[in-house]
Amino acid sequence: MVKRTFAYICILLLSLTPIGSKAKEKKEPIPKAPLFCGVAVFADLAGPTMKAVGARFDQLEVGARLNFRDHFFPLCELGIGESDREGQENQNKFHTRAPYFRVGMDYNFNKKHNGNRFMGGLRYGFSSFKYDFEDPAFTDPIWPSTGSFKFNNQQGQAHWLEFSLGCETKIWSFIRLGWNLRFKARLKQNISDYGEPYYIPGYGKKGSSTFGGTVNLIFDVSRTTKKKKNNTINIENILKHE
Amino acid sequence: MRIRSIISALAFVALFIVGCDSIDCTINNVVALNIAFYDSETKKEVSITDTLNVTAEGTDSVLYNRGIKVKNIDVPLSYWLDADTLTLDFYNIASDTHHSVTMQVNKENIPHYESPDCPTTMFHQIQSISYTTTTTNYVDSVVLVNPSVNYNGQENIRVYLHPAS
Repeated sequence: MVKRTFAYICILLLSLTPIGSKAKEKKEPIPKAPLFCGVAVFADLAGPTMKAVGARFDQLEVGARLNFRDHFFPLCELGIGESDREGQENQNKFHTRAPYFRVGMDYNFNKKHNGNRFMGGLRYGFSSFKYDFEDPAFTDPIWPSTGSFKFNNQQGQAHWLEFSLGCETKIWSFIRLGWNLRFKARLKQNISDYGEPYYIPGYGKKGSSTFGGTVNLIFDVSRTTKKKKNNTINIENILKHE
Repeated sequence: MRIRSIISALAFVALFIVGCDSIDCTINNVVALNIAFYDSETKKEVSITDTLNVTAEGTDSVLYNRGIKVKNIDVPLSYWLDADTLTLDFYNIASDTHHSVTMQVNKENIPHYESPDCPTTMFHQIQSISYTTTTTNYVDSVVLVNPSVNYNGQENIRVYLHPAS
């Protein structure tokens, strides 16, 4: 019985070995992309959508990136963030409109150069902005008096990090579409003594961390395959010399 | 199929971005002057044995009502006045005695804005305090220990009481 079992195992192992080796032979190595594959510019579609549907804040954002080996994408993003809002249950108002920028890098996890990219990235963001807020009816509940205050042009600054995950795909020729979700962690902020800004341009709603995302329309002029050398010309030249 | 997947993904992301919002107001948003009671000899915090009421000039409201065996109390300050006059009345029903301390708190009022959805609050920076008392054998002294009156609930004023009281 033991001998028979041993024999079966040996047959099984022997039968599996050639299949494995064949599979290895068939698997072609993925060609390496050139060091510099190209550049791309992109625009965020989520911001204008948020503006159109009347979200509490929105941003208009564009960016550019380089492509190295179809894996490393150093990039920069520029935008204008805006929030103009009144409280739902009171008359408090908040307004800001200011530029922001981010620099960082995405990494493409997809080893194949098939047009799809699965990206993970890290960005550093910065914004220097001014904000206004007011409370036109600030009533003292104990001493019978009502006052108001309005603070304009309060200076604010914020620095933050963004961790992103997303994907993108080729739609047509050099046009691509992608989206990503971002976790944002605030590093530092300088704000007015009278109150925190409700919205930080490029970062989002106030808080030590927040989530965000973009939907990007990308114009990508990258080449992920190396040009093959044309030997025929050289041969013709040699023949001419002869 | 590919286009449909992309459209679905875009719709999901758009809904996520637009819909992901909430109102986050500070839960502990009580701004009050904290007055603590200390023994003038041991310099340790003590509970008052009498009944304490606190009133103020300019309002009919009782700011603190019938406090017994309290070590410290929270009292609101006015939003718009530059100085508040607070009166602390200590009643002892058993001995039928009454002691009173009147404090003038000179302060700067600092509006604190949080967000359009949250109520605005008023912080205060105490510049100085002065006091008068009806009986010198009950209250020893009144000392300002922290001038910032905000959310943090830190001790602002210490009232040192004589041990016999």
